[in-house]
Amino acid sequence: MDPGVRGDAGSAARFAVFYDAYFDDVFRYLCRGMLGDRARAEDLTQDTFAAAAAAARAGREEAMTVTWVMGIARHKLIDCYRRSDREQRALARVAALPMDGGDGELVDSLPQVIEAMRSLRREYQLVLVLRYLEELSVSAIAAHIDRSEHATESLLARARRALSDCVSEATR
Amino acid sequence: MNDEIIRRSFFDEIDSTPTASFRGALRASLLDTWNEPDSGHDALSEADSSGQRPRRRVLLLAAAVALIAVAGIVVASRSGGDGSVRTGTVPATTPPPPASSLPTLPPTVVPSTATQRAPTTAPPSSGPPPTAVVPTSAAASIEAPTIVESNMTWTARAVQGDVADLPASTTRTVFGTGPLVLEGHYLSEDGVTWHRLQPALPDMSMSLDIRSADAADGRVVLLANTYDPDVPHGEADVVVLTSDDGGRDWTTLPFRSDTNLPPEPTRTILTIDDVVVVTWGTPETGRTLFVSTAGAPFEPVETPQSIRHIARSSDEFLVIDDHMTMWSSENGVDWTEVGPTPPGLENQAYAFTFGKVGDLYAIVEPLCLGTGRLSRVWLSANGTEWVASDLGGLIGPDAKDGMIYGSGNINHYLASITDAGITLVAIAGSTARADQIEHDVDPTLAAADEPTDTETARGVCRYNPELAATEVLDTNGNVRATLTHDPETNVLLPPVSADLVVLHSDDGIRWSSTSINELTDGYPSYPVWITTIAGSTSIGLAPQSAEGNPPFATVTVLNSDSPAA
Repeated sequence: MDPGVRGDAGSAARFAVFYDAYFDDVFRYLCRGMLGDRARAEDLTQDTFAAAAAAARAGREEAMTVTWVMGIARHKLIDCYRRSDREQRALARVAALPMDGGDGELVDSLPQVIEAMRSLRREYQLVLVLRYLEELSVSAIAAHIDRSEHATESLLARARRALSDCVSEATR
Repeated sequence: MNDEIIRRSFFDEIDSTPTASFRGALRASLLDTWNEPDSGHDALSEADSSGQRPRRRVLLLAAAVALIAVAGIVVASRSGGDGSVRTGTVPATTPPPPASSLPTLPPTVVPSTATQRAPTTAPPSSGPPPTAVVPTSAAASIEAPTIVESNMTWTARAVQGDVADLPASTTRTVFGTGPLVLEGHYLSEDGVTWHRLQPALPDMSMSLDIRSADAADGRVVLLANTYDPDVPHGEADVVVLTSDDGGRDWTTLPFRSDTNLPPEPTRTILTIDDVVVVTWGTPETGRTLFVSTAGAPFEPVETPQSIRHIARSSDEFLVIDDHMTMWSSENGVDWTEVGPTPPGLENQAYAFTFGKVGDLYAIVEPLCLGTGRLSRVWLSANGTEWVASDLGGLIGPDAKDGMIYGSGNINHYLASITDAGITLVAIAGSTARADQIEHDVDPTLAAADEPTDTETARGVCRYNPELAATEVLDTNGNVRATLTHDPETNVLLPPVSADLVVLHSDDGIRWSSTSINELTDGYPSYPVWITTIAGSTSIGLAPQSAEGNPPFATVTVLNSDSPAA
């Protein structure tokens, strides 16, 4: 049970306290997960808390716990990436990214890293977010994206190489 | 590409600060929806009876540390020049019980270097105390603690192991009263060295969402939802995962499918030896205990029922039921009624820490900003008669006021109760934050109308859960202003740059205070856990900034080098 909230789940006052306590955490997580896209982060934050409110009104006590609401936020984030990925594919906007290549030199320019990440295809962004923002294990990422562990490892490796190449390209 | 650079880029290069307008608009929208007449649920009453959303903001935010005591108003203030701490308690409205009714506490050993200072009395308040939860039972009394010099030596260390930073934003879900399990994915035996846990199910297509965890004597137990990827948000089952080798190999035991229970309740898991206890249920239906011994299927426990809180010591489970009766059990199956908890705890809005110090039962009651409860430690030798120590005067020597660590959202894991004693973290408040500006704290709070910046009220405050708002009271206890959680009136932000102190007692009676700021060179931080393992206490400190707490942080760990004598 979360320390901040206890008791009857059907309380608007308690939901307000819960919202105040965890709004920042949820928004920051989603904003970082969306690589700084604040508009999308706000949409997902709204969806997340709307789901929490609906569940809490239905008497589900766990809706007012940080683990539950962050789990919903994660689902929203993944769903968003999946939708975006489909859109990208449909519009054929994704340039072919190198599948191979070395790790390149160590990069210490964080702005270039995040900018390069924004240019990656959505599925690469998603696995990088899950791996480095969420710090999920490969098996956990695999479960979230419906791939085998081996395929996820491969995808993660390609995403890292693509990111490295993009940063190298930008710094030339 | 360096992994650390990728990870850091998320935190250093993305401005993830939410706007106040979005926060407020979404909040209002959600509550408006909730308050729709057909919702069938209780409505959130607006704090302003005019029907307009309140637009007051704190002017000086002389913030908010108004301690409305059970027996009066306790004031702890910094003296002018000698650095001593002045404390005092307005006489209680109920007389203390006769000495014969007090629990018999064992004799304690005061370190030979200790010096005792008797608390002095501060001036009483000029009016009657505001409405507060007042115990009426003669089975409880409140005493000033004895102050001694610390006999603990602390060492600050950085987190080590296969994880550099910990998810500080989620450290509210640190589990375990001994070895720490963070979010079910990180394990530490001492708070310093952390290892990543990789719990897995035989069916790799199923994902895990860990909801509770515990660790003891090399065993780690996790209570986790399993999710079927073919069903959006589809909870498949709830399982208990157990590892006896530090998290390398796991065995699973079905829980919900075996017990035929409904999904999504409140749940907690604890373990001692080969016994695993799970609480399951909701406040509406009552929470039930389930026990598994040596890997056998879980069985429900008939008595006690309606579990409200659960804890464990090294060899005993403890629960408090909805009637605020404490029970104990060594095997999770056979339970003995200990007795009623101290009066007033049933109104405590937040969870509290409880356990045993030797043969004494102990309850650490947090102080939440404005909730009208003073933080105190309750002790009982027989589980029926309780003595409390008010700790407000221990926040020194440089504090003007103090409270056990907490703000609008107390972290109830910030107390350790073991045979080695009781350890807490407290704030010796000196500054608070409002609108990105730090303000001096004093025991009163001033509110003002925003358009004119005219002060409308000044006084102590209390939290009104019905309104989800903080009320400013005058000396007669009348409400002079109501401050909602609107961004403009966010008075519940925790203080930053405040003096954090460790309060420790070997016996719950004699207390010492140690400045955390001195141990960490004054680096702003906030505590994320306290645990005591083999007599050594570990306190995790995450960095804090005016921009908020980072999701991941390099946690500094304070370790007591020697067990309390």
